[in-house]
Amino acid sequence: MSLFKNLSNGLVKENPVFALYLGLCSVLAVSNTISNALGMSVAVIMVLTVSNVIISALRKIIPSEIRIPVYIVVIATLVKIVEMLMQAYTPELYTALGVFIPLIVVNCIILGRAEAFASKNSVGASAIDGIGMGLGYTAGIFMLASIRQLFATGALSLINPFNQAVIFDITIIPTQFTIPLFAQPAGAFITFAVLAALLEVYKQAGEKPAKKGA
Amino acid sequence: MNKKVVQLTLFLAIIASISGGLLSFVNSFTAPIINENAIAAEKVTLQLIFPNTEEFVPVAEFEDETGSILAIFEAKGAGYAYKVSRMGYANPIVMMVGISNDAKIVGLQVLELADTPGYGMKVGEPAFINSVVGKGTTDGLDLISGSTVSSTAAVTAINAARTHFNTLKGIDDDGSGGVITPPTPELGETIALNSETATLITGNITNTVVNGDETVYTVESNGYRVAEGYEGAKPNVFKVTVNTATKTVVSLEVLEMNDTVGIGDKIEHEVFLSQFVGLSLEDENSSVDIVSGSTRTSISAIRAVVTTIGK
Repeated sequence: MSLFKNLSNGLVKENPVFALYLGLCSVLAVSNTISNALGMSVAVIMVLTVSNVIISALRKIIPSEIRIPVYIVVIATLVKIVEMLMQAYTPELYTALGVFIPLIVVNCIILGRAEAFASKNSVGASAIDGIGMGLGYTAGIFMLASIRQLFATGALSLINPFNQAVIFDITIIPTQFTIPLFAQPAGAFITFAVLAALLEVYKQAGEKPAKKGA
Repeated sequence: MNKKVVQLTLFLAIIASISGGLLSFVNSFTAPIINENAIAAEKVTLQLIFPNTEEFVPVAEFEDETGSILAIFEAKGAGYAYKVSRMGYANPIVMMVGISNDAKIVGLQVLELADTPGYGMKVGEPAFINSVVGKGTTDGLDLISGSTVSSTAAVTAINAARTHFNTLKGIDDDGSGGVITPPTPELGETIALNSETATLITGNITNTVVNGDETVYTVESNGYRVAEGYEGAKPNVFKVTVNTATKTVVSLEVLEMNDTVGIGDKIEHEVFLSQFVGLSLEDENSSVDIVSGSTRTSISAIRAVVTTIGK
């Protein structure tokens, strides 16, 4: 598998959010604003990549009987470190994400990649896989958050989590035409379903010509 | 087999201790920053209560059955500050209570208060704050006449802080001090029984029981809510016992108080009702003091008594 294929795998074909439907709990919950979504993504990419690297490096010495507890200890340690760093340096983001930071521990993307990829592949490939899957997660949650924030508040904005400075804030839809439903969980489900359907259409359109050719 | 188990256990133990070491390393430099963040928002308030303390440490875990305590800060070497909240009459009341290490309330800062002006807002006035500051952790606290609901909320919240402090310091609270003392209403204007105010509208006697010299009247008298045309408002009902031989009032009891809870019901206090005992109905100088803050309800009581004259 080439490096690029390895990376793009996580973005489209095996996109954890829209193709594998993994880690949806946090995707649906924190995709209310772009700032929260990106903050969550950075945390997931960090945990995912580092846990992939550690587990891949240890794959030959981890006894297979206790591999799952070992994975969980590694992942939980990384999540706790990320949580402490966020609480210290980005307290507002920490408050906004709340319980979903510790819940990264049980995010199936991370344990899934540890079991399905990192435990069988080299350190380098695992790192690339972690970044690719993390970016796939980011792309998914970012799309969801952009659509939800746009329809719910009429604006797209991003806040620097370190000093609360507004990086950009563009109003596109006048406030009297916003749809508050999109800020609610129901809005998250509807947006998610539409996006997942669109990705499926795209994937099927890509497969058909390939079959004819073969 | 046994060897395998030991091997696996050891492996897991090594992994766990490495991760423990890593976590405590990260914690060693993030903990002070996290503390600083937690305090930053409250620092100004904390220093108003403990002006000579520089170092405040948030208490992360605490027990509080009442659910009133939002946060606890230890003022190093001085005492503890409690951020407490309790639902007032209309909105939650949020306060910072400081308790010094010698078990005295040293400060009370009202952070959020949005109750009725003139009534609930009294919780934020110096009179109440000064009545609390200086009290020990087992002393009784006085409610505010005219803002029973708001001041009960405030006192309950302060008591939650005191309970935590007492448990922490092993101070035995026998409950005598923690009991909320009912407010003593202040008496205001004096109204004579033959004045226009007292005789303008009479009550409605619904029941009369003659028992020798004593006659017991049940009287309905319109209070504040009926007069103001509140929907579904009912008159207040009083039981007036009159000695028909001496033409004096034996007792006045409130059977039903249908005015505003927390305001009108202050007339049920002994201070007001005892004025009627022995009051002569024929003497032109007979008068009683109304309860300040519940004028209209007090007048309804006076009218109920006046109604029985000459019956």
